[in-house]
Amino acid sequence: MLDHVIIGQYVPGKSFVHRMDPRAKLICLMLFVVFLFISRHPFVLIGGLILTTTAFYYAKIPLRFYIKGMRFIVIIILFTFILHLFLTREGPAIFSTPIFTIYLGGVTQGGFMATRLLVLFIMASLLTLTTTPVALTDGLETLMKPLKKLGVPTHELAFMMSIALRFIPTLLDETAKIIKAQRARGANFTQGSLWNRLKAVIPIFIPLFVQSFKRAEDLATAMEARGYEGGEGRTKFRLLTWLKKDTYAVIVFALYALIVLIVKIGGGN
Amino acid sequence: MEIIQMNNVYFRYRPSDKLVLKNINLTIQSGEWVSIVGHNGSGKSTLAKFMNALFTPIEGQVLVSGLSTSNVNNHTLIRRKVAMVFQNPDNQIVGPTVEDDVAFGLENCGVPYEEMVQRVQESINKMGLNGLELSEPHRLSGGQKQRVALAGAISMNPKILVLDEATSMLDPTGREEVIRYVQKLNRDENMTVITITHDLKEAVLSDRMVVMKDGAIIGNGLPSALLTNKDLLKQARLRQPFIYELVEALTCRGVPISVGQISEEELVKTLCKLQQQM
Amino acid sequence: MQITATDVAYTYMKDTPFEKKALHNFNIRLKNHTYTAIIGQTGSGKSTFVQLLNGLLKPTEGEVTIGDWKIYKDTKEKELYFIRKRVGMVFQFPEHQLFDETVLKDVMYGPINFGKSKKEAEEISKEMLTLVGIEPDLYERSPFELSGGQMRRVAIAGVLAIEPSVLILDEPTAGLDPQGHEGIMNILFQWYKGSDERSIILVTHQMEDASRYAEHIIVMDKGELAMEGTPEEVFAQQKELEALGLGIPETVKLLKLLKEKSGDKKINTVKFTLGDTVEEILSFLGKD
Repeated sequence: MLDHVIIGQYVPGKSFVHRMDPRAKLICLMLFVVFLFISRHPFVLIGGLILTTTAFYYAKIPLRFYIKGMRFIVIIILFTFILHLFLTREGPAIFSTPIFTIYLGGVTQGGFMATRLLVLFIMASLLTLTTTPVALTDGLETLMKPLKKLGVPTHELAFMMSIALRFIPTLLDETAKIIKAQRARGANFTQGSLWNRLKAVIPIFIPLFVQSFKRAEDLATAMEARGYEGGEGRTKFRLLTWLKKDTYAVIVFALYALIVLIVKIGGGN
Repeated sequence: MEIIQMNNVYFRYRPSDKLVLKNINLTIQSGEWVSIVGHNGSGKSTLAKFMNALFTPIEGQVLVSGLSTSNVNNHTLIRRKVAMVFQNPDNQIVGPTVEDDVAFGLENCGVPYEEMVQRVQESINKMGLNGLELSEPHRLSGGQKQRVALAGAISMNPKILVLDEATSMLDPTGREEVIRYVQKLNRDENMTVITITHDLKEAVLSDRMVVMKDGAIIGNGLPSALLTNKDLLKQARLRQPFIYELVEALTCRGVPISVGQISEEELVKTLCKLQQQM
Repeated sequence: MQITATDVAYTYMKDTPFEKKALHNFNIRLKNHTYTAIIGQTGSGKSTFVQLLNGLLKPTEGEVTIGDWKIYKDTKEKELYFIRKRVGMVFQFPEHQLFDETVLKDVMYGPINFGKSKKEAEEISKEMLTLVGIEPDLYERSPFELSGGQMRRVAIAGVLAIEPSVLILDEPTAGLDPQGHEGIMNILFQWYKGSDERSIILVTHQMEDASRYAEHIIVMDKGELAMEGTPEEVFAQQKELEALGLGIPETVKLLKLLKEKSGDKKINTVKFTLGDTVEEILSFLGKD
């Protein structure tokens, strides 16, 4: 059951996007998200589409991997579309019943919003599909560094994330094992009233908590024994290397941002 | 040279608890391999945690390379000298990949990047983990995980290596694997090794055996000498290794075998000789 | 109960990039009331196989029968529930599954799930706790306050209380000290002897246990059946076992060494107890 949960949906590869510095990828995504939503001008969406298609092409990841994680997103996109379809009252009516009327504006608005979400989702997936969770953590940590001056514990946050990533597979294995053991003792998680099903979960959660606390304690001891004393004076084994192509990629996205800004100011939309 | 000295060490977790260590006196020489044996709950694992200042005595003192563990300022230095590998392979690997984990201790003490990369690779090679540098810990076997922990430990160039029941959760293959590498470190690099175990087959390989019961040391000497002492083992709730049982049973039946350093090879050789004489 | 496996295969994460064949072309027949040991290296498919026996996993091909019950690809969860009532399973480190407030309540969890009344469940649970050597003054304690060895016993009692006919043990003594190990192995053997309706299937790495307790040994390698037979038959094939990366009992190992060194072909290397080994050596020395 838990076998199918694939954490982080990283797909190994050696494409241009795979080899980019995680910081560059994060910056590009941030620029993209902010500026895609800043303006409703069609040019902005067209530009976004072009960028997404290009990035998709360079990532060399088969379409099915995107689709796999998409079921939930598709629901959101459809919902957005339908909402706009019924609620927008602009342009000529194109379809009318005694209960509701659909206007052309609704179709275009809905289509516009849906495409925007789709593009956003594909771009975000591109990041997680081409970057290992570890690299992402590293990238985030370095990008967050300036926040340290504001008192944000950036090292601790990143370290917590990294430990979580390390232990998620272990905990999933453990959960699967406990579920099996309790099922062997006759536990039934799929039948009965909601209350009974909730109650059935207790024999899984308690052992899992107990074990997790034990693990945390052991891990803390091991870390202490290995001389961990917080972020001060630590060096880093993982170095991120920023190459020329990373600069180029960021420039491309920055240009997009600039164009969007010009459109926004010029068009006032 | 004495590298660890424990003098009249007493310990309890909380003032209201009963003593878990009672009057421990133990000296360990540099380059020695000492095994500390006892049943579960005998205090052997607690004792191990005094060797790198994870615990400090409520009475008495522990000196590591002459540094007292009771002085908090010594802890960082002591932990660099004494590396430790724990029982549960899953609960001591911090890094998301093998090489990250091996580097963890080095990162902590601020080793420069170039040197770190070199030392990580060296340790990985020494523990025979080449090719697994980028593997995720949960994809490794138990024996491999413990070797990762060992690699992380030796990357710090410690003087002392403490294995706190490090093989008890492994299958026989994994156990053999880990012991083989530990043996090599002790022999080739003269590393002081302390193994905490209830597996007497493992203890036989060490230079000296310390037997614990109810938080006290009840035996300390050559494994071959202690393992023939049935009373002592019974008291400690440990089982005599098969080969010792066998020699004793044979002697009882009038087969003239001297009780001393025994290995299977030696016993078989003696038996062959005896047969020819008859 | 008789247990059979016919052309059984199991593939983990079938139809994903992570697909892994754990078991294939597996055929086995176990008689009623047998103590079977399964040996094989880690990853040889032992654990997968035993999980098929109580429907925690369903075979991707072939079928398993337990008495009159069948387990195959499309067996319904409801039927598996009845199978689990007959086939108990003690996982490695079973104390990791303890959860209830008190020792007694935890042991009662299984019988109640399988339809016993509270009173019946309490009765059987107390009986099983006595069998595993847990004193009544511990019944109302939290299981998490017990020592490691006691927790293990309580967890085993929790499975025995289901009153299964077949008990599957996946390395039930891993991590215990020698005395704890022997204690638990003896309890389990005693349970097995308690009725001629009971069977045990023990997954182990310890050849001494396999030779001492089992009547039948199954050797697995890379998801296939490599060998099977009585302990005598299996441990006589020392070369084959070695090729599979498996050990042999200490007694056999020593006698084998003696046979090789002395060149005495008369030595019977397949002896499993200290006494038998001594006799064999004495007869080798001509001291009958």
